[in-house]
Amino acid sequence: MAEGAQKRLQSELDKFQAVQKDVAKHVGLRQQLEGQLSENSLVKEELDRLQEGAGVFKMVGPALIKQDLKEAKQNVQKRIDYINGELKRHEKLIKDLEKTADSHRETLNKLQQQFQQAQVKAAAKA
Amino acid sequence: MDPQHLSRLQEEQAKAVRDTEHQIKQMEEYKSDYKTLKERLRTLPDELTHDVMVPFGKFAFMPGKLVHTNEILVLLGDNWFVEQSAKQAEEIAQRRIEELNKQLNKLCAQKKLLEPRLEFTSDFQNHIKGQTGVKEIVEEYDAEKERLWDEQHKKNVRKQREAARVTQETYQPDKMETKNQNCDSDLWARLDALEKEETERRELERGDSDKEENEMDKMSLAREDRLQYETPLDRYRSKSDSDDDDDDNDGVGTEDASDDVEEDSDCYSTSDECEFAVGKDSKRPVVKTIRFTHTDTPSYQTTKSSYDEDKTIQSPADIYKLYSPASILKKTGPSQRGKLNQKKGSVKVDTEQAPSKSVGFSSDGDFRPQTKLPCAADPPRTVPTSSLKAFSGTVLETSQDEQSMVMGPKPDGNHNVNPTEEPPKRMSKFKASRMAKQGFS
Repeated sequence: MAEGAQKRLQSELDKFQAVQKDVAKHVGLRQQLEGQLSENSLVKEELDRLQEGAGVFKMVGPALIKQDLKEAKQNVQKRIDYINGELKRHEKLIKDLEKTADSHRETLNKLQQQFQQAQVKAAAKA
Repeated sequence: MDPQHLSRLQEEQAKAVRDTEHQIKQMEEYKSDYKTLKERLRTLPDELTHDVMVPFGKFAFMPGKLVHTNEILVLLGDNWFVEQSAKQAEEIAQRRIEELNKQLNKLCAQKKLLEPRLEFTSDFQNHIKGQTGVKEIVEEYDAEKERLWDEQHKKNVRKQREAARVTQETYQPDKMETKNQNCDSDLWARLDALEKEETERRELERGDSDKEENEMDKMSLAREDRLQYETPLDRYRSKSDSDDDDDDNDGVGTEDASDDVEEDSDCYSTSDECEFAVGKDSKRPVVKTIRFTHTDTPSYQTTKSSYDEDKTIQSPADIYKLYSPASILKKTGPSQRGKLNQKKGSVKVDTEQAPSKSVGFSSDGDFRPQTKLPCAADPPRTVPTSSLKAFSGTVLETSQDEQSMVMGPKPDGNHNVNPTEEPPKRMSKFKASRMAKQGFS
């Protein structure tokens, strides 16, 4: 009885930890996205300040490729939007993961209590 | 608080503060970098070309020239470059510096928030160690002990209540009751009623001066007994006593009055009542006397021997005993009793009864003046507690079942309100009073 409880406890614990890892991963991704977002908004600002005719280059690998200003602006805008979407998706994922993590935590607590009770009983019997 | 927890908290807080500081330092570095860059950008377009030593690898330099001094490729971010003049680049750099400043401000504020927290924790630690002047007061709470104490407390309270009840029953019920009724409004009502009785009694007294002395004696006794409740009237009385011919009671009366005043100071607004009494006295310097008439019913309570023996009212308790508490509350409503006392004859007929005194006011909460007096129109006032029938004009000697409720013995027509001379024959008090009135008038 105690062993069974322990096993259950262990498996539950593993699940919980896995979920927590997922949560952490997604949180990290989200933060990264946030950084990119801020960067791109900066870029956009600068591009807006740019006068016409200035050369805009995009670095692709070791090469600088000339870009049109308008095109560049559009690209940056698209990137910003894309990042926003990704951000929202990640946030949602994180929320769901957290919920599952909470439920796991609760079951974990219950199991722990049961386990403790079982231990106490065993100790009393013994 | 657990010192371990505290130290852990302290650790975390310190870490947060450190991180913030680190970030601040970084920002400061960036800022200085941008500043030098700006400077460089400023000077760069001064010359068409610059002679420089170009680094070759890690250890070598080569002389070279900087050309196109005004063409600057600026990294905007996310692999986007823009070609700008030096001036424009300068502006970009300046904007970046401003951004950094904003960040720095935020970080500084954050640090300011974090540092006090750390301080508090360390202060707390010191308190626990007892190093500062503040001592932590720890009240131990043991659920089990508290429960036990609760039970004990309940028992004690119960015992106390029992004891109080016992003393109440055995001692003077009316006194306890008077103590219990702490309502000012009731007392005021009573005071008014008593006032009325006094006025009426005075008028009666004019014709009944002989009784005064007896009454004064009894009154003083009554006063002593009913210190708490009688206060307003006592004072009243005492003042009137002072004017009285009867010298005996003066000292007693005033004593009692003063006692009463002291005792009841917390119960009543003594000053008001005193003034009231004074006013009354000034109007009529007649002595206030309490006259009691006893109805000729058997005593139903044996605690007061004086009462039992001769059915005279020796103390307010006797009055009370005339009224069984149960009967007062249940059977005889105050109004009824008031009506009882309305019998004209009841009040005055007492003299025939040897020990009885004619009381100027009706028994029972209803302190209506004697019916002779013109105050009959007053609505009966019902004093809430039965025990307060100190000055019932007629001492209704009632038994428990109210059978013996009779108004003062009236030889000349026993308009005894007491409707029930015997248990079987029950007559409503109203009817009895009516009959009595008819009989009297």
